[in-house]
Amino acid sequence: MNDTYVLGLSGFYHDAAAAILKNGVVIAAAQEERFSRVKHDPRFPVNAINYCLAEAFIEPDQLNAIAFYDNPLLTYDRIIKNCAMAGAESFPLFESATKSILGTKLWVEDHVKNAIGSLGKMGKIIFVGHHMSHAASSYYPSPFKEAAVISIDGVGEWSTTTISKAEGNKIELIKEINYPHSLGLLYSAFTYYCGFKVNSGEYKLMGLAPYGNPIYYKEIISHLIDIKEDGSYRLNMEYFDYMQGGKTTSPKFHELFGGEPREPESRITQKQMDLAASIQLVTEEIMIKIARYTREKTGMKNLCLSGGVALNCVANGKLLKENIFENIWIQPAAGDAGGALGSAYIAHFYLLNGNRPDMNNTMDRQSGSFLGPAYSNQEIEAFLKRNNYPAQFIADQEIKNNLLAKDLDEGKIIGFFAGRMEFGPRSLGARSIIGDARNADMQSKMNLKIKFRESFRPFAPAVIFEDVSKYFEIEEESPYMLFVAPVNTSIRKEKKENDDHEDMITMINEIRSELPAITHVDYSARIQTVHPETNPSFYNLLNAFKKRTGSSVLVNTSFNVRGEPIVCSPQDAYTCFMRTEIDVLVLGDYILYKGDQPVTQKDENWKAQYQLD
Amino acid sequence: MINQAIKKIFEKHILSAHYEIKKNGKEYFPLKGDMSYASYYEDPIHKEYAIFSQINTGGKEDISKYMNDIFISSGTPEFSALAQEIGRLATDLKQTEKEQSSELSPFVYVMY
Repeated sequence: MNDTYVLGLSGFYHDAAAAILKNGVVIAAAQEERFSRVKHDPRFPVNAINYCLAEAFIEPDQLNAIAFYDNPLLTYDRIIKNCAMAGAESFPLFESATKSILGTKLWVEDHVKNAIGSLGKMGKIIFVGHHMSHAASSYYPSPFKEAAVISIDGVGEWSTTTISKAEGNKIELIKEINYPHSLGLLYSAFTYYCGFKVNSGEYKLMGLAPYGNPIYYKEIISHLIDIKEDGSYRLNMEYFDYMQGGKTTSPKFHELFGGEPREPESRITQKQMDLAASIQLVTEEIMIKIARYTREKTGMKNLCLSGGVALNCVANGKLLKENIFENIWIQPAAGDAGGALGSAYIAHFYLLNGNRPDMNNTMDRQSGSFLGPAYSNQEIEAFLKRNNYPAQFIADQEIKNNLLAKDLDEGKIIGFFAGRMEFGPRSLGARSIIGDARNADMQSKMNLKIKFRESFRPFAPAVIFEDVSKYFEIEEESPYMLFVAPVNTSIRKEKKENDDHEDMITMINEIRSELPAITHVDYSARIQTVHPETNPSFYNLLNAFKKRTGSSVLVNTSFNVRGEPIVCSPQDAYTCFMRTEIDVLVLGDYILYKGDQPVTQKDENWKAQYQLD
Repeated sequence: MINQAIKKIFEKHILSAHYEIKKNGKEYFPLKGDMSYASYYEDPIHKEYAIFSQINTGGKEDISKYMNDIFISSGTPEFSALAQEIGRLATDLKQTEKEQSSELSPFVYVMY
């Protein structure tokens, strides 16, 4: 029987990506930004597509189907009706959206033809519903034969929250909440109001919440949003400006919370901390209520989650603890990049009538989310030789890992580049910067000397799965860093009384546990469990570190500087290595030490090229 | 000329719909909560497009028909005349909007 290949695409809004399935299983996926080096690159993902085709080793005309993750004309329907409701002041929005949708987004087929010269065997593209793309991205690669599926984001065409029931090959959409009522847009409104960038700063708002108290919770639920017992909700649009094409929050919103939005990069005060805590509490409440309703409505014991709001790993952790569902699986690329993957699945199962392989309820089909390009030792060697970069080649994995474990134990920071690149926003040990989580200076050193920032957020821990409950109050897997859980009381240290609650940098640098670099001010941590089947290089290194030190936890942060996409190629990795104070670079089986590298002229101009995130 | 065409469409169709809303009170979607509701969940509104759809962009008539089908199926036939203009506008804009920007749109959070 011939193999079937389906290509899925996302783009034109943010986080363009491509994914390819072979016989219904994902074999490659990547975000365009990793190739173009432009963060959140929205442009048509020509590089990601070419990578996917190369990885599949096929020509474009061998594609059985090509799918796009969104319906631009259904989105345009929303814009028309939005502007009809909003009136004359929405003209700039209408003009911009018209040009963008009717001028660019509608012509996906032309973009594909121009990029790869073919529309595959079907000769046309299918446009998959945005929320169906999200739902598919979480259900089909999950280990479940059947599941409830919840998708929550800012907005797709019209839907902002959807509930589906999935069995076998099919997903049935059963309930939705529609624009303008959106949990994602509500959270983004607070992101903006607290002075962070919308669409990328939500993570910072989540990280800020533990510093505050939810003193604005009542204001939010009394004025901004009406939440029903079943988790459904409506916003009060008097407090928001996005219908008119404004900045998300209206003057009434500012009046309610006592002032104008915080200027980006200005000092964060207790007010922002308390706002962050308040909106986080509201978000968690809604997600838990939606989950309860979904369990009752679908009768399913498994839950799949996707959409940008599913990246709120604090809320995910709370959801896990509630035990509403027996099992939860979350798509690591839960945002729009994952829509590329989801749309491919819909084409495979609905258009081509594909079958799901036998699901055993334990192993997922995401391959650890290591779906991007890998570079062989030969390719790495060629890169090093071409540039005369000194490196040691160590083929023996045990010797190599013991050497690296020693470096980590001595406080060195390592840029770890191994195997296939991750798909999704998190680094999972393929393109990671790693360090000793026990080291009290590690957090501040990594922030100042690698990320070039002051940060109120701790780093995240990677831990050997078998040892996770030794350190954290969680027993479930968290291979994609999508659950937050508390650090065990047995390894905590007592908090110092801090009179100045606004001195966040001092607070975050306090030693709160035996793993200070990864413990947040409320003793929480964003956990990655590492598994030998999907992540052998990183797993073996962690084991070597454990053998040497007794600790099976490392700091794992993304391999990039602030504002830059995560590195993709050996060149990207070397550039980041040399621009920062990373001590050691591991490229496959090659190890490079900073002191051995050729001295280059210091060029600080590169910092200007990356926007603050 | 394109900008003028967009402005004309806005004034002719969008603003007139806006004034109808103000006159008759018929809204396309609610703007706030309603205590008389026990739940805000809706049955899927655009079921025929929810899974996937094929959009024929071969000619402006095809685009207009697709748009008109959306308007009719969502209970807003008053936009049928607009549907005719959308097909024409789309084929004109295809020629002028070829360059993609790497910058995110300021409206990206609402998918425009």
